[in-house]
Amino acid sequence: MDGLLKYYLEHPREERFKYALTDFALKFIKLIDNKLYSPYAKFPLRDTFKKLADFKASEIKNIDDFNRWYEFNFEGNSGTVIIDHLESLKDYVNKAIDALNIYINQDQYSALKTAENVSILFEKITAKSEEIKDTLLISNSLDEEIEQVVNYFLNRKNSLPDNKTLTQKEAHKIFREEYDRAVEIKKKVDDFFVEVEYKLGQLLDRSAYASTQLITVQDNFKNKSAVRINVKRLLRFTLEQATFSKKEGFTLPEKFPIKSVVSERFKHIGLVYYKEFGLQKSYVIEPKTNEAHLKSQVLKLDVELTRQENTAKWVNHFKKQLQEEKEIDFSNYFYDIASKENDALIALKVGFELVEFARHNKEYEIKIDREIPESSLSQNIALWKMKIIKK
Amino acid sequence: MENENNKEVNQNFSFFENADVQEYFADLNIELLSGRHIQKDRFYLYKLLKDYYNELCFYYEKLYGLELLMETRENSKYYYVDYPDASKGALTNPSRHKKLTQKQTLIGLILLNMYYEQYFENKKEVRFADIKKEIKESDNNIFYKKLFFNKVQDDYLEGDWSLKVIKPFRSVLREFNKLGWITNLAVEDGEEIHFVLREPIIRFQKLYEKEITNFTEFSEKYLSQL
Repeated sequence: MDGLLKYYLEHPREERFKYALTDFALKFIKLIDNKLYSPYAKFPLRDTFKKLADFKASEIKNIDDFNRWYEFNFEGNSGTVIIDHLESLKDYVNKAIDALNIYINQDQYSALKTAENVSILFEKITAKSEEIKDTLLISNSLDEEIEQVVNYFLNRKNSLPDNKTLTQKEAHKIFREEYDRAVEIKKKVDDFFVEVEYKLGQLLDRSAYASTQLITVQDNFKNKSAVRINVKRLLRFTLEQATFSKKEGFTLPEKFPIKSVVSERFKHIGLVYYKEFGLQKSYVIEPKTNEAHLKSQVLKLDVELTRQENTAKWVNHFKKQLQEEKEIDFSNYFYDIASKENDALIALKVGFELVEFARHNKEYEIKIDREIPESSLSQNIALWKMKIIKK
Repeated sequence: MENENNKEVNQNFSFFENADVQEYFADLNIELLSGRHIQKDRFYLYKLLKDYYNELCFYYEKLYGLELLMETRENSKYYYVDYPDASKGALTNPSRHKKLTQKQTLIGLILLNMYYEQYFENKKEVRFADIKKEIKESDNNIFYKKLFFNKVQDDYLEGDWSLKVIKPFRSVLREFNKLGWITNLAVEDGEEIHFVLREPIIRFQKLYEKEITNFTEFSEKYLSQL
């Protein structure tokens, strides 16, 4: 009761011991009532829908008008009526098929009675489906009017210039939202009719199939009915004979006839196709020589080898000189080497190797005067005064 | 090209030279010899059967000793191959034909019965809820309950339904799907079973035609042998 009191029941004012249904509960009951009894199915569908189709695009001046038309005239009125008619059609089709599904279980007299009842239902199905089909035709003219309304909102949105003032920007935002809503309404209406057409198609297919089946069965009722009844008897008989055990599953007595079907098993094995069998040949691909690259590399190598050779010659020469003269002022020879060899790098390497030689040899001393001699100033490479002295 | 209505057929294999036969015959042959019943939804194979019915009849008879059969039920045509009455043709070897299992026989009969329950419905859909209803509420409910659950009560645990009903049904449905007797549909919202009964399920009825047509005689004779 506490739960119900919250949403469904209330105490009438100043009558604490009485209960009344809330507005919400009344709405809920109405909803169930509509669902169960489809009250709108009693409304004339063609007339209701004709009124809806009388809608003129010129009547829509703003988006509120269009919203109002959609919510009250379409969704809340004609749409509900057509859905209720569709529901009642579904009801007829279900009733007819349910009645027919037991038709062949019956004796000939009862079956005749069923067929009579079903034929009345088929008449109702035909009449109702014709009515729904008419509304779908009317919906075409409605669609044209709605298209005009959408175009009206589109033109209004596009009417503002490309370069907008602040006020125009605000207006454009509103126009765009209104256009979007108009498109949304159009889509909902289109979807509604597509859905109605689809459901109607399904119901008519079911009804047509049932009606054709009825004609076929009527031609051969006795035979069909006998087969149907015997299938039921065979099923019951088999259920009586069958047993179940955990080990063997469902089993039937050995004498029970078991049937065979054609069943040739196919195995698909994917094999790689080889042209030849045996050991696969291994092919060695001769690399191609890039002659230009080779030539440039050989030249580079030549230069480097000559450089190393000449460096070694100079180093030996100075080592001898050191033995004889006890002192060398390398700065006096540097530019001379560079000029003779036409390669400053050789002079640098000679200097580097002599320094290394003196550093690792206790008999020699290196003396560096951090002054750049005047002769060095005119050269690209400046050099401190560097002497190697034998102790 | 000849069709199934044309009696003037060359009794040779020259039709294999036709491009459409070369393109689809291998698939058709595998499907038919696997036991499948072919309906319109297998468009290219169905068309081949329709266009070369007589030539294919000759082919299966000469090379396999089998019959290519065409049947129409509820305005829907289907094709399949079967053994002639007295032999198994070239498929005599036990590995080349298949006895239905006892479980398949039992569930096949339940499905055939369901087919008739929905005889006037164009799409004969079956969901687990329908099987559950059949077991719990049909005239045969006591037999079903004893067989599937070994005890008769109003309802059973979910695990029991799953193990004792859903599992065997699903394994049989997989096989029947291959035979073209049913088509498994996409399962929605945690549904365990959802399929459509196809017209070729009547083939099952044909297998038991003798027992169904003369049920009283069959049952009496059978019981006297036990």
